[in-house]
Amino acid sequence: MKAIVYTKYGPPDVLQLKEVEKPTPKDNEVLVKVHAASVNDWDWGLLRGKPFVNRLFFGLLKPKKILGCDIAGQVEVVGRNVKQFQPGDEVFGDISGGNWGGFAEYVCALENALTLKPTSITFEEAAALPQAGILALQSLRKGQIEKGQKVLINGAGGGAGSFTVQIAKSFGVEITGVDSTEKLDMMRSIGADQVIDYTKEDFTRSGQRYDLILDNAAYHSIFDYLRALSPKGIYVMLGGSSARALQVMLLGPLISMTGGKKMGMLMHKPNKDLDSLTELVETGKVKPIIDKIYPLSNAAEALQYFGEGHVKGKVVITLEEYL
Amino acid sequence: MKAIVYTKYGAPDVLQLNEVEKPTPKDNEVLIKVYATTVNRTDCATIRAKPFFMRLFTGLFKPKKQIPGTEFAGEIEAVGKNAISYEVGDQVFGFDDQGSGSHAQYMTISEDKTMTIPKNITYEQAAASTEGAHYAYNFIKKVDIRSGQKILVNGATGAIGSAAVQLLKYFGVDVTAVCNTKNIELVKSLGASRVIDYTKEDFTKENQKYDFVFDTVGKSSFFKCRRLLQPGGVYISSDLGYMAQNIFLPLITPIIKPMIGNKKTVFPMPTDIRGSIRLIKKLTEEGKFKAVIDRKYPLEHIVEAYKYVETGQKTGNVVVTVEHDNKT
Repeated sequence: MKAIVYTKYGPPDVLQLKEVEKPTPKDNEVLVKVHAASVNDWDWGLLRGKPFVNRLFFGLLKPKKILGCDIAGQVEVVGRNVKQFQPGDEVFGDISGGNWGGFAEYVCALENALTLKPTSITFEEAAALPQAGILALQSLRKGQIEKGQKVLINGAGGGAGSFTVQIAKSFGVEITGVDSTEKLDMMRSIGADQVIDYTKEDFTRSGQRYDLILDNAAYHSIFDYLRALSPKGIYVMLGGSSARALQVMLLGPLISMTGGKKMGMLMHKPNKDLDSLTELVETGKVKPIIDKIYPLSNAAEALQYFGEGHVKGKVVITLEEYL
Repeated sequence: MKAIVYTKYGAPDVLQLNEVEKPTPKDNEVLIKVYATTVNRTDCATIRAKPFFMRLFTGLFKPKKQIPGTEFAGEIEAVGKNAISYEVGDQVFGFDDQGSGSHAQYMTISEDKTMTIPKNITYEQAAASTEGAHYAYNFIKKVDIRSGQKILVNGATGAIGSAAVQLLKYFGVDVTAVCNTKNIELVKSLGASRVIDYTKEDFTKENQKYDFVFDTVGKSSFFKCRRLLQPGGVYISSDLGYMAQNIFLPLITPIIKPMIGNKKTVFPMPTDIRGSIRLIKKLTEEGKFKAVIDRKYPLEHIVEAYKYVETGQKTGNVVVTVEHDNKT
């Protein structure tokens, strides 16, 4: 089968399209013929082997796995102990809890990481959904979002951000989206009431206060965010550099103990609440925003585009035969 | 709102139509305006609290939940503050084996126990699609059933049986169904390749051998059906059977297997309702599953519906329709 492989960590051009052996499912796995897979921040980190902690998943010195964890496709073979699926079932899910490998023609996935794909959702939309959508949903839950709040979403034009804006909207809150210039219109179109171009304005110094800050980018110090929180405000970090993550992990609990404000990091649980999210998409309240679709053979280009940070919503990789 | 209420366990006559307060959804719940519900075997067992150990879940001396009902279909009327999936007006359906209180004009339920109804069906069909199919699908999951195998389904016309035949057909299994004369055509249309009329023929005397025998009604037993099974074959029952034998046999049969031709019994404990409903929804939208509906009763006449279900003569599902005048 065709797969995107790499033998050393580095920039996107280390990725190569190669012929590799088709995997065989274990007893509790299914073999999925991949239709589409989406690119996440985690793929970007694992591609470059940065931060170093990422290498614990893929190999310390060189990567030993295939990237890609958000997949949608069709079940081809089921392992002996698999109960939920039959060959032919259309499925999707986040396989980051297992062996990864979604940027390929076939992938083996744990039965529990997959769910049936509703017929009304395309494979590309289904692939765009799990990781980013779940991050969005879980961060809103952790942030205890409530009607009438002022919510700021940093990185609102990206993958998780574009889901966060849409889901937050259904709670009846006032949303401020922060991202780069070219994403402002898109943020408005999915429900942001105000938009801030971070290349021109630093929201932590504007004097505005927010009840909830959801942070996908984390390029400010934790104390800048603290300033932008209302007295009982909550800050939730979803993504950003490891130095910032460390800061939030160490100082967040202290800050949360010593005042009305709370700061913390989201511990992402793959696929949890995927059903609720799927329902939101099926009922039309949330639409996965797909910026570009690349064929599998151009996966390096897809990662390159992702890494440049200009993606509006999600980047999806689709197998050539389905384009 | 109008609701069916019971304050002590017993025969269907304990059920009364009362005016009660409309419930309010908790933070993670939704309020559903019920348009259709059903009376199924789970409901009948719940109101009678039989077998007795059910009271461990439903209340020892009197029912904890005073409004019965498990399956439902209706419209979202209000959402709790942490519920995110739905908005007012969305059409949903579902099933809660712990009781959803659906025998009423309104009910509340945790949002993750409900799902938007398949596009192409009515509330009545949606309500009737879940309970029997959930139990049927659980037994299919429990045993390692594969395309091309042979199965005999006893009681192919009940809620579980009629769903089982359709699901087995979807999974590519060759189904022989046992039913009465009037339902032969129905069962064939559901996907059975062979039908045995129990009024004319005793299926336990059959010469065919099967990989599985599934008794959805508990009217036969492992010992009667044993000779129908291939070596290594499995007997599955969705009913406790005489003296609750179907709970104990799965513990014993693996041990005495060598003496009984390597055959065994399985009693599935149903789990993952949501997974079942997800599959049913998909198959319904693809036109591969349709709930069989027997009779319909208005909520006001629900006692008759219970009595009819208790006769054990129903074909498929018994639906209860719920009316709303403009004030409610």
